[in-house]
Amino acid sequence: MAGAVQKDNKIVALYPMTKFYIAIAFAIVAVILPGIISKAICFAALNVLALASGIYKIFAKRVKNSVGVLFIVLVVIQTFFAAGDTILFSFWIFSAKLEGLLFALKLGFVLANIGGCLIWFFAITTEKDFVLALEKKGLSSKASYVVLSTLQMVPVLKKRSETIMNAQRARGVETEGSLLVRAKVFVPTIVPLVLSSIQGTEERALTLEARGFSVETKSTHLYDIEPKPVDKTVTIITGLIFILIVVGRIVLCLI
Amino acid sequence: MATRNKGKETFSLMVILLIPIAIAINIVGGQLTSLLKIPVDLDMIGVILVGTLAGPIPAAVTGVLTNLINGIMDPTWLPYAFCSFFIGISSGLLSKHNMMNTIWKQVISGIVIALVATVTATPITVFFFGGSTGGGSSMIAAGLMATGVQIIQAVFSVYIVTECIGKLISVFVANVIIRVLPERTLVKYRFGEKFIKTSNK
Amino acid sequence: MPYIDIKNVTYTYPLVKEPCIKDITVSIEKGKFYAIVGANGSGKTTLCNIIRGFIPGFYQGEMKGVVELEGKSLEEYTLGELTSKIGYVFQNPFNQITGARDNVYEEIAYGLENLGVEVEIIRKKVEEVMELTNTAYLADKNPFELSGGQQQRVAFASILALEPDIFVIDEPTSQLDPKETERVFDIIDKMKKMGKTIILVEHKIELIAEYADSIIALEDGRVVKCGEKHDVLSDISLIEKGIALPQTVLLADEFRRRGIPPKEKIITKQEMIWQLKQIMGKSNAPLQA
Repeated sequence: MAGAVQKDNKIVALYPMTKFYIAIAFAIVAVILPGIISKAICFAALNVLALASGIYKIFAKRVKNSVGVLFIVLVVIQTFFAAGDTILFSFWIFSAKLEGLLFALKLGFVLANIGGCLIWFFAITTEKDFVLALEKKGLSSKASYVVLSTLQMVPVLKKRSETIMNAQRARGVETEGSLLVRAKVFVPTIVPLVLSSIQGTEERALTLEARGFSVETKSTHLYDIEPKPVDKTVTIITGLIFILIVVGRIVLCLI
Repeated sequence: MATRNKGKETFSLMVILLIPIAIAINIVGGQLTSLLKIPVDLDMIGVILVGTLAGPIPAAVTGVLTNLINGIMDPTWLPYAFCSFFIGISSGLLSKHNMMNTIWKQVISGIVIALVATVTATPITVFFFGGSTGGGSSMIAAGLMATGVQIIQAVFSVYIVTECIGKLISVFVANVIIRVLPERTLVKYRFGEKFIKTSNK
Repeated sequence: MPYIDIKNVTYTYPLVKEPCIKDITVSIEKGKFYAIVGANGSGKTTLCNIIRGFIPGFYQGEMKGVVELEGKSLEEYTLGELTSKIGYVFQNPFNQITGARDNVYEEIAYGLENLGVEVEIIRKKVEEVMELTNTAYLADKNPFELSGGQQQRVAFASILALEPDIFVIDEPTSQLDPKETERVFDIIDKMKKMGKTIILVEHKIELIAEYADSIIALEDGRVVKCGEKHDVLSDISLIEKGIALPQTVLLADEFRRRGIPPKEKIITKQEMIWQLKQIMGKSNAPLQA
């Protein structure tokens, strides 16, 4: 699960769905706005939003590692290998083309905006809160169980895989060296990991039955979150701005 | 009683509990390949395992959820949920038609799944991400492009090779796991009986 | 009328030819503590699953006979009714963590949430059972990060919170150290004093001799002896059936063979000490070291 989120920040303290609507509206606006510059401005605004939410460090790191890498490769591939007539410069057998570069920048900023919105959203919302909010919107309790228990299971299995690998090392199995040597470690690590986990499912299934998992009564929530008046205001304002931009964009097309 | 005959439904409790484990296996498998610096993706073993044991729909759910959960940290995973969906469906259907039982059928299944993965992933990479496949394979794709190959063909060629290797290994690992699962566990899943050698029936 | 009535139950697991439970008929009285003993593979866990209603539903296979709870067949109860009537604790502590919640407090509350109990009542009950099981200090911890013994106590707390009348407990201490075993038996003892009906599978026979009321001894899927604990455990022939007996019983038997017959059936240490004091008091002979 995501680490402690600072709920004293006003943006972070919003109801998950409110933040989710902001993220979606922002991403759509970034897609429909014309030109590279407007998309770049969008991305700058997103950075400001992340800064204001007090999670800039984590935001920047995740953006860099995901969309950032993609952006660079994208620019290289499109500039040098896409078809185009306007040659910017050439070296050896390569020639950089303006059409490719522009296409890459446009697509790159669209991706950076969409990816950035989602990264921002998950950096300021715990999965637990988001799943709970979705459950209140009608997500089945079984689906929410699958998501929550997966998030719990990943670190447990990760830790176990490390234990198994360390045990292999202690027995003298090489985990470094040629590709074949390394590949040979994979199977004896993953197989016992899966086996021990699957064999526990029978008892866990009975445990869940014993805790009323399949009972069809409407369940209560001990840990609960509710939208506040400010959430309504923020949602309405977001909606209005969103409609304004969309209408503006359509009008711009028609003129 | 409500639990009666629930054992083989598409989403029995056993399947609901298998999905989180399978997703965790996908994620840990993916991390393990990068830790061991193995150059193929082995992040769909859980999906193939669920497909082989429990059928196409649970496997598709496992695949899509794997991408959504990975997408929390890295949103570039999200569009590929489309591929994972079809990898799940195809592995489930292959198992339904007894294509996971013998080693030769597994080889064919591995190639079929690899084809499905390639056909679904190529358009996403080309049209969503402008040809950037991500990771080390980007370099190979770029190298191909430098020799004058079209972007879409370069991406397709890289995928078909890496996917064939990756999915063959994944199908193989999933089947190794199924072989060692006890019979009493296997019978709880829809296609489990296909993998029990000494049936008393 | 017996509380739980198991009538001529025979059960065969899927894919197996031989039945695991063979024509078992046992009556369970309300408020009593029953221990099920027997060698490995004698059908103890299977019998538990039958009483809880997991067999044949969850495990499939073929079951003959009927299990009645308060005069009504288990099959006539809904899942919710069974959950609130019969609680179940297993052997493996890790597998009893649901994975649905990320702290112990909410983990214990999870069953009550599923049953739709009001939040205020949930809090009250959770705090009560935390007190009872000594888990309050773990409230904010992630259940997956606890030790086996702690997880087992959380499992007990989670079931206790649902306030079932019957507890089916399957080898709760087999993976625990002596200290944690003691804590678990302490909890079971408290449950007994609360008037709960307890059905426990356990290998630690000395603890059974001390805490249980009645014993059901199984061999190869059949009940070989069933009744009050003194009557069952003083039967030396059970050893041949793969059932361990308390050291005290063996000692008493040894005494009997050497011509010092104990007056009562002796199965616990305390009883043995008392008996020895009686003998010493009469004969005035010093106890040989």
